[in-house]
Amino acid sequence: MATTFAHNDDSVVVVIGSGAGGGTLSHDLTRRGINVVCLEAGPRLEANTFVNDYNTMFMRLSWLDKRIGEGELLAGLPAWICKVVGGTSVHWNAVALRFRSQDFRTKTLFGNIEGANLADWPISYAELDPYYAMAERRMGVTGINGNPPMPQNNAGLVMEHGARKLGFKKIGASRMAINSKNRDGRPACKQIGFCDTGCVIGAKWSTLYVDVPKAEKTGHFALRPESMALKLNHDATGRVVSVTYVDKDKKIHEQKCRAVAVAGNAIETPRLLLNSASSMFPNGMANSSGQVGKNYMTHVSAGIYAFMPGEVYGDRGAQMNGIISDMEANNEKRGFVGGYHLERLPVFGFPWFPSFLKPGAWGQEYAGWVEQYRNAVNMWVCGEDLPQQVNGVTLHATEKDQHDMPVPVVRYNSHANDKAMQQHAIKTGTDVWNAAGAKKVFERGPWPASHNMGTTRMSAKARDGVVNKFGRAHDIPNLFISDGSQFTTSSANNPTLTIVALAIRQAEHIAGLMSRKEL
Amino acid sequence: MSIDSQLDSQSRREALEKMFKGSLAAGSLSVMPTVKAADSGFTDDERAMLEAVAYTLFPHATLDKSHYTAVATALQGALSADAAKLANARETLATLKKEGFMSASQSEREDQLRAVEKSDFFGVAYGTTLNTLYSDKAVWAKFGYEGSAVEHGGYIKRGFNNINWLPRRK
Repeated sequence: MATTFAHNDDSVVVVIGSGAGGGTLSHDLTRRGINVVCLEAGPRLEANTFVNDYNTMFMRLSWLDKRIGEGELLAGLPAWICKVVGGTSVHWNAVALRFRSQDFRTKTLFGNIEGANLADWPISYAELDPYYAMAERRMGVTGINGNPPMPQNNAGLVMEHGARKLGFKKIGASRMAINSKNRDGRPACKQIGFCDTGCVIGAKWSTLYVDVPKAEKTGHFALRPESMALKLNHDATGRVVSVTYVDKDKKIHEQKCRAVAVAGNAIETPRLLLNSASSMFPNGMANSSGQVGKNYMTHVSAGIYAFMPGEVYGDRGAQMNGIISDMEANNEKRGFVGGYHLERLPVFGFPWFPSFLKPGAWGQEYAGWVEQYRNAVNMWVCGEDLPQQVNGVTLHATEKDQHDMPVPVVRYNSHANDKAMQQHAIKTGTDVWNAAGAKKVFERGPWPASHNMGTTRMSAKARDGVVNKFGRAHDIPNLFISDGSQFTTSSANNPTLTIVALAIRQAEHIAGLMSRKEL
Repeated sequence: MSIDSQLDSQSRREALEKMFKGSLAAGSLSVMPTVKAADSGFTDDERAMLEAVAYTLFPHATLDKSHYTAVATALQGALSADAAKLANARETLATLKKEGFMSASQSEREDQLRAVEKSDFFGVAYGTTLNTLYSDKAVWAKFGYEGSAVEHGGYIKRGFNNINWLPRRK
């Protein structure tokens, strides 16, 4: 029988969100015997009910509650993330890269850049290294720990061929959190494709079928799906005492707690803190720095489609295996700081491909390219995005969602450095496809972001950020942030592995605080 | 209960519209392929023109004409659902007729459509054609999109890395 905890049980840790951050944290707290109530806004779906269809799964998985995008973001869908148990770890493409040592010290390395709000992380690579290793073992990351590298598909081989002709060296299969052999009770990848519509067979790591069931087996875990957190409540000392949430029947509940960890992704996490403003915290919880909802980063990105002289079938196989990392290292001679990866993308088949290839295009010539689907390939730019105070999440003054909670307004505009990097990356990507023999290249702007970071960032000093090196709020000792919101900078590397490593480390820290009676 | 059934067709349309807006010209995806049956208010001439407009937007000589007839039917339903768009469609079709759209070449037709690209009618025609035509599994098969793969065991034994035209590595 499923574990339950009473609403007035103030010994539990409430974890908000069950994705890469919240799911991992829940697993690691509960396996240490700590009782956790996990509030997940979305429903619990079973992987074996997923289907290989872009439209259908977009509708089932996506976070579609009203949000307002401003600046360069889509007005109606500023981010492409999930509202289900497992969060965006259901949708992610499993590229599992570590940040590099220099990624934690960008302020020191890059200095003051006008318009950017750079800071060094209060944690070093050396401190995170053992937790990266734990995350990689747990997630079955390929190419290490006896997990064979993921074999590349046709499109990956084309990309590698182009990259090699240009003399690039850091190329080939990516490190993927997808089983390349049967392990951990889950099968090896069958090269189905459709990783981002949810892996039907569970070969791709996701908290939905890895960490959540393991947490449940401990007997210390109560998952409450379709439970949307609305507000954190505090006592006269400023400690969080409970979480107000609404269930699927629109009933409002209050769950008492010993501590709270928020992992709602970088839009919902600051939204919840801002919506928890009180007379004691008029600017929202944990916001004495004024940095809650600021410094929103998405990664510098772009899509680069091309048509090859022969058939590729670029939707066959794992969607994002294949990477070029020669451009990752900082080289200011290029006219920008930071670096980027080029990562392979699927073509996104039908019905999406004809509208993704060149938005708004039509006519005879364009239709001719659409017919060449078999020969199409696609890649994605993933580059370091500078934090800017002007990019972020605020609450709309009057518009409310279905729960009467203010709608989040998400604003993002590229820094000049981001734009220079994007142009450089598009040129490099185009060169790669041309070197591989492309007949035609189509560049396109970014998709709605699935990488969201920085909105409650880590800092050494309380005045520069929201949380400390363990994700613990500077202002509120029993409030933690456990998702990509805590990232001080974005690096050029996909964020999930770092989210998981930080969550593993945070769980150890919380358990230590509890055993020492400091929490 | 399936999640799909919790979403009415209106919110499905809106959500997909959000997704595609970034990819499409503003306002172009007004309708998804779940439109109701054609309104009988269209004349034979108008129906023929809608089909010709659909073909002009995404002309595929290898596709059977019936695919474009299906788009025209969807388009009639979509336009009938909105009085203002219907009026704009009738007006635009009348203009195109006067310009000799039906007897024009593909490139002449493209020029004529480009001149009305900002109209409501064009937005509906573009979105409906794109989504009706390319949601059709017979069209997928024609262009080589293989659709769902899990029931076939994925591509691990079906050619995920069978490329044969790349030069061999030394």
